[in-house]
Amino acid sequence: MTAKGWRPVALAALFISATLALEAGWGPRFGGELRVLVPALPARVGPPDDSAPAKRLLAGLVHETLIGWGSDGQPQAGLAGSWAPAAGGREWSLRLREGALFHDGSAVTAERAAASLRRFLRSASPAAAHLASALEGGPAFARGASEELAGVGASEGELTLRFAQPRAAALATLASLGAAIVGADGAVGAGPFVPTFSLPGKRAVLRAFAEHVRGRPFLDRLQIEVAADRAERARSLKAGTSDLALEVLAPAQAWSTALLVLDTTRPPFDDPRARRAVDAVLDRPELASRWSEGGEPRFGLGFLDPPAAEAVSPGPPLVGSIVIEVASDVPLPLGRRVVALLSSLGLRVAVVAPLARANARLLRFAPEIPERALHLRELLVLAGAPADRIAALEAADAIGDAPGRSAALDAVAAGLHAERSCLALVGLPLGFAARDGVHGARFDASSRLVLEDAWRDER
Amino acid sequence: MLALLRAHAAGAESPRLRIVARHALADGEEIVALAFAAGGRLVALDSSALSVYRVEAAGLRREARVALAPPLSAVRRSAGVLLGRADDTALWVLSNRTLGARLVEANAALLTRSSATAAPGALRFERGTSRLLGQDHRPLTAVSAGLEAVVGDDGELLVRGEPTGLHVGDAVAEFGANAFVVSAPVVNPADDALWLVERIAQRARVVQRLALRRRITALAARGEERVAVALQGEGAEIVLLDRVKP
Repeated sequence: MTAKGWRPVALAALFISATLALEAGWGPRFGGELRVLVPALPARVGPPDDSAPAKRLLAGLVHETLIGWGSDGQPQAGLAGSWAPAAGGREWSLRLREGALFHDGSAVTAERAAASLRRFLRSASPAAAHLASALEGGPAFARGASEELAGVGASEGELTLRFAQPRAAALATLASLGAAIVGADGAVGAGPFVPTFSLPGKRAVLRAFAEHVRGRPFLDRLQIEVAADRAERARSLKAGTSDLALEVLAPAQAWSTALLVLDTTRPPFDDPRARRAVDAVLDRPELASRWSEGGEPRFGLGFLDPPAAEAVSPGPPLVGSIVIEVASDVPLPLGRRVVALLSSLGLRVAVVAPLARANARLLRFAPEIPERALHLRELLVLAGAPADRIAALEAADAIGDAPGRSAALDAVAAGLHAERSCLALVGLPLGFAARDGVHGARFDASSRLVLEDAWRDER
Repeated sequence: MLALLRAHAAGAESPRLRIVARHALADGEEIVALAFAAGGRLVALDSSALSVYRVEAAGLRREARVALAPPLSAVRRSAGVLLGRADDTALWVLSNRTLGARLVEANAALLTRSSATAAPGALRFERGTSRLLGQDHRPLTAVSAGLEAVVGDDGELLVRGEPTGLHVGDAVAEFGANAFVVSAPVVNPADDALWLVERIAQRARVVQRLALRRRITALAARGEERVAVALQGEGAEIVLLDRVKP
């Protein structure tokens, strides 16, 4: 594949990026259906225990969290309509909105919210681990060493969280989709859309939830289908067989990062010199301009970004074999080029499907929650950081004064950066294109496509 | 038909409107329905309350504002309807945030006389939406206070059930026997305009376009003389317009 093959396909001006104002002269209006094409869908629609973008999309449509987390670092109302601190910031009370319902018509209660959080705390989510580390009784509960959880209480429409010490962004973890509040069967959601049909990993049909806490979505129905190939999504949009397609040629509305994660516990990447050699051979500007459509070079991990590439000496050739896992949502040419560059170091590189034990993983990353400590925790978990590094992060997060906390988080990030176990390569744009007359679709601060305010102008 | 239209164009002069007063609204007060009532009053329904104004020479003076009875449903777009004639002492009030319809006295007390599951014409909101359903269950996006004119879900203006072929926005009011004021069918609020529409035979003709440059959210008319327009956006207000005397 040559770079020429990745020149943007000219899509006719039939499409607009659906970023027009929500408020319009004759809209927004209720009704209609949206046919959406996406690169991937998860096998199930339950709250995800990791932050893979494909899982976020569907879970965000079906499920609702107690709060959201804005790019301004502030909580946003979800199933909880209000919240307030007490005990000097060690305790937070969240009041559920009156009349909040699950899709099956049952009430969203504080007891259900507490049960959902208990399930979340024992999941594999980095956000869950972060919350567990901060809650009273959280670590022992999360390990399964105790069924007692003093840090979560529920009574009369109010959920109470008790932390071991005050936290700067105490509620941010609740915005994780893994912390979505679910019904008694562990699956029924309270999100804006109700799933009515699902072909796991391929297709999902959803209808508007009339009792959603922010109001019924404008659209009556969503049909979401997988078309893994970008060109196929673009063709479908042009032909009018779909209304909105993710990740076709469109202005970037959010960003993800292609990350190369190296396993530092095994050869050859247990040797810092090998990691340095890999870092040196990865030419970010070339990877961005020639091997990823619309990409931008990335030299840092989303914070503490160096302004440009650091001079890294290549070192001696590497010997041996490695296995690399390339996630399905990484652009194919980018994946191939990274493999070629690793081979150029002298390594024999085998590419495997996900789930195999690999020395390296190439994946697409966007932080689930736009909060620094959580962003960093996700990266540390990806990098397989040892317990003392995680503990350092938790200690940094618990620092009371804002400048001190910020400096301590910077130090943790700098350590991760210097270790070169998690190498940022290319910023990959997230965007969608939509047919003329589709309005109100957007990406949120968690790089998730939000369709609850989308509407169609069919006049 | 063409001859009839030509005869009209050559003969009677079409009405014209001009702005005579403006009344600024409080921040966040989005009016979803307006209606004139007896006693020189204008009733306004917003997303959470009903207000009554006295129409005076200098403009509007609010006499009362009464909150809608809780619980109020969460909706992504507030909508409402006020039904009645301009000389009525009570109006039917329908909001998509509350259940059922209420007949409310159009005076400073705003007392509820009675309530029902739907307004006259079996009019009600489809749950959680701004779509109106009537006796035939056909979805509508707007109705005039006297139910003479409605706007279908496709945006077409219908007069006494008959299609006019004219596509309009989401607000409509009767302006005398054979004329209507409507909002324009535009997506961009900055392009919104008040259209004065005459109906001759089965056709509708726009005789005046008045650019108002903010989203029109509600319209009301008193006879063939006066129109009230609620405008949303920066500097939300109610604008009063009078017919220009020949």
